[in-house]
Amino acid sequence: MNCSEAQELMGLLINGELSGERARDVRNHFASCDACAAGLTPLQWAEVLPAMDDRLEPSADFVLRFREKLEARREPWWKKLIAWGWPRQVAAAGALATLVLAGIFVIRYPRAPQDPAAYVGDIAVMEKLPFLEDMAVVSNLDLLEDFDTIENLPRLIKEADKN
Amino acid sequence: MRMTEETVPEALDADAQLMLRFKAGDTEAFDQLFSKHTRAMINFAYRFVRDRQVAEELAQEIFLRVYEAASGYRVQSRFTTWLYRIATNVCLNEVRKPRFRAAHQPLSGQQAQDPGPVSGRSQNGGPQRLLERQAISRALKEALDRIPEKQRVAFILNKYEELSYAEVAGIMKISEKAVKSLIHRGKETLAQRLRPLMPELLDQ
Repeated sequence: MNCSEAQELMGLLINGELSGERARDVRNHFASCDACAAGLTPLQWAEVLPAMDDRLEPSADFVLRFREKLEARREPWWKKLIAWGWPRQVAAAGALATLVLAGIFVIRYPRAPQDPAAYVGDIAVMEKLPFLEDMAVVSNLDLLEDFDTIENLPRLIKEADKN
Repeated sequence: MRMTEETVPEALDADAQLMLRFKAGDTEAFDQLFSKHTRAMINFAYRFVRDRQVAEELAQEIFLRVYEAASGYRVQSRFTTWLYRIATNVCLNEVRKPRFRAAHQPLSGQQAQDPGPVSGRSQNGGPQRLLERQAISRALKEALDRIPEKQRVAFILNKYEELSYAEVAGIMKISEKAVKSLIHRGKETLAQRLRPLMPELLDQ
């Protein structure tokens, strides 16, 4: 590509109307031609940047390293475990043993189902007493707490009988 | 099991056909895809990380993901659209890591814009002598590392990887109009970084 052709096409490149090999040729020309590059604006330099940037080639061992990674991902879990080394193996074994023991304990000693009434205490118990359905009892609950009278009840009954 | 002609339509791009063959168990097809796109993936990753070793690690991660995603592969777009979507995700994941960001803190103020020693205009005249080509290149590369993430992705995919607006839109899952806007703003941002170094030029 000669200079005049490259300069003509720069307008199209800037407007995004040039792509592929043609665009690459224009960029390469400006990146290597001092005379043409002399007149570039900052915006045009930005367009030429891809032709000036580094181009890497894969390292010699790139494929080999990829194969190793691929094998590592594909190998079964127990092989990965072996590759861990003993400190991690011991920690993993300890964690596993704890989980198994906890599981056995839970299965062997399940929590007994609790009576929901136990959570509400004496009130719930009292509510179940059949005599509380008797209005005569309910209306004289104070008497049930008169412990002196209750204690002396046999004597009081005898005295009442005598009279 | 080999893919039959009935299951691989003729209209598919060659890479998609290779991927379908690999999905069907033909590992040689994967090797072909790997060979064909290795260089592109390393260079694509390098635009984000600017470190050869990290770029190669990322390229390998991209191919590992392709390998692992083969069983669920469906032809919904060109193969390169799918590949670059994976590649973009891998690279952005890397540059978003706090460890990476801490190691690549942008320099502040003038330091960030200073491309290094340049020859003086007063001594030499023309702008090509005012700024050495290497200095311009370095300034632009540093600027590219700092432009907003989406602008950077769109710019790299379109200008470096030579993908069409439609393909970039497919990869970034945005409209073509948005892609054009991102690329234009990206170029403007890069040009702004150069302007202080080329004060005698009027932007056209």
